[in-house]
Amino acid sequence: METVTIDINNILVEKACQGDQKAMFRLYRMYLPAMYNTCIRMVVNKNDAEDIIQESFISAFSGIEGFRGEASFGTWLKRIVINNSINHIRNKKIKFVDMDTIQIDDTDSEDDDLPDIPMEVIHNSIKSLPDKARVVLNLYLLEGYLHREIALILGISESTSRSQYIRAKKLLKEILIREYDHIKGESC
Amino acid sequence: MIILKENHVKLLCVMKLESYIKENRKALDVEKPDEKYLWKGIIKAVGSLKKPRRLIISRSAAAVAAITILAIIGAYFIGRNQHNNLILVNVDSKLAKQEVILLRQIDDYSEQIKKTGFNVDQLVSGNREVEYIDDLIHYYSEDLKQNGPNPRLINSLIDLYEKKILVLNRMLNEIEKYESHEKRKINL
Amino acid sequence: MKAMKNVKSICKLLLLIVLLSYCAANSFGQDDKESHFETTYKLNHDGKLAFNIYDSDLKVNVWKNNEVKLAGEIIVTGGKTEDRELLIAAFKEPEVKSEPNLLDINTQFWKNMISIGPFNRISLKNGKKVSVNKFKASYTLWIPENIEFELKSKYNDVEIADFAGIFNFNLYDVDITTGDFGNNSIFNAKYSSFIVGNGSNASFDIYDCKVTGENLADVRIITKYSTLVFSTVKSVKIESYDDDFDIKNLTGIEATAKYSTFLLGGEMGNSGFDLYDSDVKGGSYKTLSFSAKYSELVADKIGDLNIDVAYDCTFKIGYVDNFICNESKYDEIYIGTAAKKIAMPDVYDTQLNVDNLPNTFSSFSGDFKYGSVTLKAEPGLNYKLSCQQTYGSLDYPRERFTNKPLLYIEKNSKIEFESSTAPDANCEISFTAYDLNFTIK
Repeated sequence: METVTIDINNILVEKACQGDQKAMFRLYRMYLPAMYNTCIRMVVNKNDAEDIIQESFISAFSGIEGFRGEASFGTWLKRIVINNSINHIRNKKIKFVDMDTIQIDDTDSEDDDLPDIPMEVIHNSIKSLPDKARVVLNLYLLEGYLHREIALILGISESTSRSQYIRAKKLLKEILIREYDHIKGESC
Repeated sequence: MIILKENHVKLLCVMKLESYIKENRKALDVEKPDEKYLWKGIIKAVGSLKKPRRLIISRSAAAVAAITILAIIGAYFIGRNQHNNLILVNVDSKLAKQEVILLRQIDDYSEQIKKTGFNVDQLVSGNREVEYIDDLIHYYSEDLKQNGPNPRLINSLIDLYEKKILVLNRMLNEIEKYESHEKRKINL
Repeated sequence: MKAMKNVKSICKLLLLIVLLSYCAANSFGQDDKESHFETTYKLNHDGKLAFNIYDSDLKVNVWKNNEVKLAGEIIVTGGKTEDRELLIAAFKEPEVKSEPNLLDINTQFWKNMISIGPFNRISLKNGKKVSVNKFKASYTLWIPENIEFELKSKYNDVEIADFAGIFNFNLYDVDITTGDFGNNSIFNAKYSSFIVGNGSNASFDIYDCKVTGENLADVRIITKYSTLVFSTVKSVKIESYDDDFDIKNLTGIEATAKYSTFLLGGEMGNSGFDLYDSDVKGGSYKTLSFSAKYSELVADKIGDLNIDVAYDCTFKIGYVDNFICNESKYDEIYIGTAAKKIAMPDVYDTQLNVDNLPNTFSSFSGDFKYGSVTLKAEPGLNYKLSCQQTYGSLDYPRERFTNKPLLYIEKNSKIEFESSTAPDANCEISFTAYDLNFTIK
């Protein structure tokens, strides 16, 4: 049986539309952890993430009368957070260069099989990826964007988006395997 | 001598990276932002965006406002029948309207708490706090009846309504925290 | 046409008559009427003065005489002349009960007041009813310096000079400024603000108040929604809900608090906190008992820190001798230096970071599920490391372990480890764990 949770959200959104700051605070608390982590995985820097999150919530609450309710409030807010994160990255002048000329092998290999690794390690490993690879991986794997959507957002070709993603995956695996090696225990 | 048995590595949970991350997507949100600090900035900006309203009341507009207030007050007496006295109704029409809005919010939160079916005496902010505030509201309203209005008395009355809303909201948050704690216990 | 003109003229005339009548009606007593009085009562130097005042400002002076002098001033606006005279007469006759050791003065001279538009209809205590636009009364008292001064006051400003006697205040919506005051004073107030001087022992029972005080001794505080700022307090016992405390110099505290913040300074002796969603920052403690949910503790130095239960809390401690935590869940613990001992027998999903284990450190023990532990040991600290854990990770400085470490993985991915950095190592680091990331550097 599906658990219905939208009722409380709708009430809170309605109250927030009326300027009820308590309702805004409850929405804020509900969505902050997910939004913050989405943002910091994109921009890495804590101070930048905090600025972006503040801007995003301010935009959301200021424009909440315009929230039409077609998607859930959380989805709408997430879009604002991602847009702001990407704008921030663009302002840092990170160029998403087309990678058509670079061949990256994406054949399935035994390396795909990894032991159970704590999520905190995965989160930090994602943050440690190079900028472009990190952004594409976040958008595709974690936020569910299609490559053609990512291409439009970042101003790159669809194939570059795919290549960046493959590269990101490979780098991420390498990092995670290195983490795992700590407990494998090389012989003294 | 460190001995690592190869086959025991395979006994550890082995999954493809992408599927593993997707299946544990929510657990990836490991970082905890500075909730209070971020909220301060947000609410400051949201509050300052509220534009001051200038009401130019013409005779007909005043009449409409008066009829509306009477209708709201009437709806309360007829529909809800929960509030024996609107304390500020004889003092000022604007204050009376504010009182009606505050009382409506109090009723909404009280309904939400009732719907959870939770034993509120278990909460940190319990019914005792709400009852204490009600006692104070009664005390000030008796003073008002006996001695007429003065600004400090009115301010305190409005503040008590707002405090009641704060405490009810806290009770809802505490119920959520309690239920989340119980879920975590079950998942141990 | 002519008829219309006539109608218009008649209407204008009628309007003029109405306006003139209205002005005439309001012309009675539009000037302010001012009046004063002054009375003196006997009271022994160790007696008690009970003073009741409502919506009128009060100034209190202190003198050595065994007398209480009361001066009052009233300004009345509007109303008929005889109503004003009746009002002023009632004002000049406060209710007084006078005995050698007890003086009871009630300045509220009306039973009730009804406001209709610009007019007040006032029922006086002597049974008469008067109507005036408004009135404003104020009082000045001179009181003996060592009596007990019981004040019931509402909706006014009060000023009191330095006083060696005892205060016993019951206040609603009062802004009060006092100088120094005597031992065992009691402050009971709602929606008020206090600026008080130096005192000794005192108790506060307050609701949505702002208190600023100088130096106090032993203080008991029951408070909600208030802000309290003190320079120095010897010891304080607090029951708090949604308050902010700022005590610059404190030598001991026992507090039960919800949704409150504490900013503390000074070197405290034995202290204790029982908190919910509250923050405590600053100060040093000789011993500290602590139990909390959703709270934060930041302290420079703690001798013995005994945590009964911590749930979703953050700890940032510069230096601790002994850190004992009976139950910890979802906490973040940052310790600069742990000088002697760490014991955590029941830990779930907690992050523990200790920046420095000096040579004096002797024992680390615990049972951990999930979470992480990171310890940095001084090079001179020799220790024995033993653990049993399932899943998780164990990271240790291999080069320091001269004895051959014993590590094996049994069924169900258990790691068992036992080794030491020196044969005569006195320090023991020992734990059991499930899915814990343990690092010692």
